[in-house]
Amino acid sequence: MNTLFLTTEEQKVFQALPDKLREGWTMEVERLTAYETVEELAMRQKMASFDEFPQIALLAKQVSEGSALEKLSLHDVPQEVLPELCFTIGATGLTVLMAKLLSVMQNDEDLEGLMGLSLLRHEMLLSNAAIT
Amino acid sequence: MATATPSVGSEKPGAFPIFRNRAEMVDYARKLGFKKIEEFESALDSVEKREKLVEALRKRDPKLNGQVESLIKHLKLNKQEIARKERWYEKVLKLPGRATKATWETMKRHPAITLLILAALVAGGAYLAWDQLGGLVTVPNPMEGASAVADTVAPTTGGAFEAIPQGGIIPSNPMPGPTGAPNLPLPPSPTGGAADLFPPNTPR
Repeated sequence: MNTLFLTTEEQKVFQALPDKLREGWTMEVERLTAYETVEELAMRQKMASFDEFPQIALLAKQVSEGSALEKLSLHDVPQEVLPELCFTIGATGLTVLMAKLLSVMQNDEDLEGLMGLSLLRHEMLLSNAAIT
Repeated sequence: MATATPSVGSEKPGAFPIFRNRAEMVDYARKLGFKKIEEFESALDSVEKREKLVEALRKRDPKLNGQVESLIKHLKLNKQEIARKERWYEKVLKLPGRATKATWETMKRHPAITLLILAALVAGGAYLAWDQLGGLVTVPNPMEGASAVADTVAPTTGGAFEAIPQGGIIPSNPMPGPTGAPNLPLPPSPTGGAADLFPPNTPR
């Protein structure tokens, strides 16, 4: 499973990465367009439930209070938060994260992360499209 | 998997309810007099079947007046997103463990991505739709180049994002949302190390 689901614009950036970094990875064009509207994202944010993850609430509080960037870390947050997190920010948010990751891509681990994000986004778009 | 404790959706006097899951929506429907959730959902989806719902909503909140249609629209949207969330959880738990692990490790490894995630949660996700809100919110425009997303945030987050009350920034008549991939300007093709391209702490 070394496939990245990238939009045509994202593919251009990916293609410009060093050959050694891109080696072994294949691309599929992300053609789905069921991104969330402003209203849908707002509803998701209100629906978000992180009761089981108090670490998230603490971090969010730190952000709103102006904590220094270097003090913010997800290391204490369990991976199990990922589904709720991804749903809350939507395919729209995942696209922003992917854009940022593409700008700082440096190694295979980053590519694995990009693969994961693209797959999550693809599945999110499928979910969005299935229910309107 | 995160699950909300089934309970009545959060309701403040005069505010529209928000249901985090189907159980909360079912509870609300029952209080309105709908014995079956399917009947409630049909009433939301079909104008022809709406009379009972309108009557129940007005009885529950006599001050609703002209906001009935807005409330119904809100409830429909909530219903839709609950259904999407259920479907999403079905899918995500079947994804390869490698993909989700890699995603999480990457999110933790990059402070800028961590901040983006937390900012989305704090600012209600609305910053992601900056273009659509057209300057109604007083946060830096994170869409001025994806590479500038982290650069527009000062080393301390103070001042980068003003506290925005939940739901307080969404206008009553929001501009239409995007119908395709977000129009995010992507970073230029790297010519060397990626870090060279984006000087840190670029002033907003």
